[in-house]
Amino acid sequence: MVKIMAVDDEPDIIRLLTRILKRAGYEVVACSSGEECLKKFRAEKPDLILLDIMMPGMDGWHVYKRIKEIDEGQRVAFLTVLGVPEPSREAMIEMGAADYIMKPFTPDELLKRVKAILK
Amino acid sequence: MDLVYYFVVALAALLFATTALMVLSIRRTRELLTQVKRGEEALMRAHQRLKSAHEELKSVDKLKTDFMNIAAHELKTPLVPMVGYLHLINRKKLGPEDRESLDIALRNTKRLQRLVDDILDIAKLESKVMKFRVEDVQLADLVRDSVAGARPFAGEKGITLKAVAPRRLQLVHGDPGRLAQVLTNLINNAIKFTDRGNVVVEARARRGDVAVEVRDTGIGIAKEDIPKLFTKFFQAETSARRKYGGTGLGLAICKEIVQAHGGKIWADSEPGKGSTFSFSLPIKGKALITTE
Repeated sequence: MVKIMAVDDEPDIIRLLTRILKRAGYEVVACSSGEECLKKFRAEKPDLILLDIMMPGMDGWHVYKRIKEIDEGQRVAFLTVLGVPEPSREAMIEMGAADYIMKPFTPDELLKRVKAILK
Repeated sequence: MDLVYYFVVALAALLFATTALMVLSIRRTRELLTQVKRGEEALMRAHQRLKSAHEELKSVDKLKTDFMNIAAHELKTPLVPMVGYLHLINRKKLGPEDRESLDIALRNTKRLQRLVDDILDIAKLESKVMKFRVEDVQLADLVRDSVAGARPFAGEKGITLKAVAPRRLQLVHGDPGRLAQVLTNLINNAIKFTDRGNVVVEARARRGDVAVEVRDTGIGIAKEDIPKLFTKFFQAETSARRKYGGTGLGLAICKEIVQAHGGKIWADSEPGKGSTFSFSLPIKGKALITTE
């Protein structure tokens, strides 16, 4: 079973992600912070991490950097409410190499993006 | 004897004069040097002041950007579960009354989403926080793509939608995504306000710029309303807003985007006959896009 780790500080959004992905047949590991994600991802070995950017504590950019330092091959897709080239220049360049999923999404949009990224 | 005496006196005088001159010129040089140094110091101070003013501006800019990002985050976050869960329910079989309730909720969520997007766009444009990508843009292609994208909407309303553009036009400099947003907005407006006839989108080269026209055979706009079209939240007649929907920000956003690219946007219309919305962009090399 394909395993997806969903990282977001909003409990309602975590529940939504979990529900949509589970119904589509994915195994889901939910994390409510960047720190929790960093703690868990090595043991969980998810096929994909869906990572919120704006989170209190460690934000998505930092989590992404740390993940890539530890395991360069780990697939990560940002969840973002912002238009694509809105964050800082530096972040943009890094993001150029990463996937992203725009929020809000419909279940179909989310599943389509996840499928495309996992391909 | 006299001659020797005069010679010595003259020599002494000469020596004295030379020494005096030397002393004077040294003093003068010193003064000049001090002045130069003072000038240099003043320049350094001015440079420092400019530098800190620049830093200050940069940090104001960053504050504005941060504020916009936070505003976007806060406004959009509640929409995520709203949109997501409503669509999850939408997959279920519902009775006619529940179906209608859900459709209304979905429609209004979409409306709120558009409004939030438009408000954030106009705020970013007006505060000069919006970042533009700068690339070579072929407007002829952009016109064809935008027309293709709007075809389903035109089909729904039963009107003809046509693109008229040469294969290649001179390139313009700008953000293709934002320019497509302008085109799509103008085309959708034209379709929205046209119940019969056609919408034609034409791009052509002029001297020094490229112009795009969106012509429709729709309801048209009263002459006195034309200057107000590009202001925020203006829609000719309030009843039109109810009938045609929309956030009332679309044209204001178009104007800001076109102007940020160094271009112009304008409208002509005759009530009952139709409207033409046009914009022009300077060809590559003449653009004044305001971005880093």
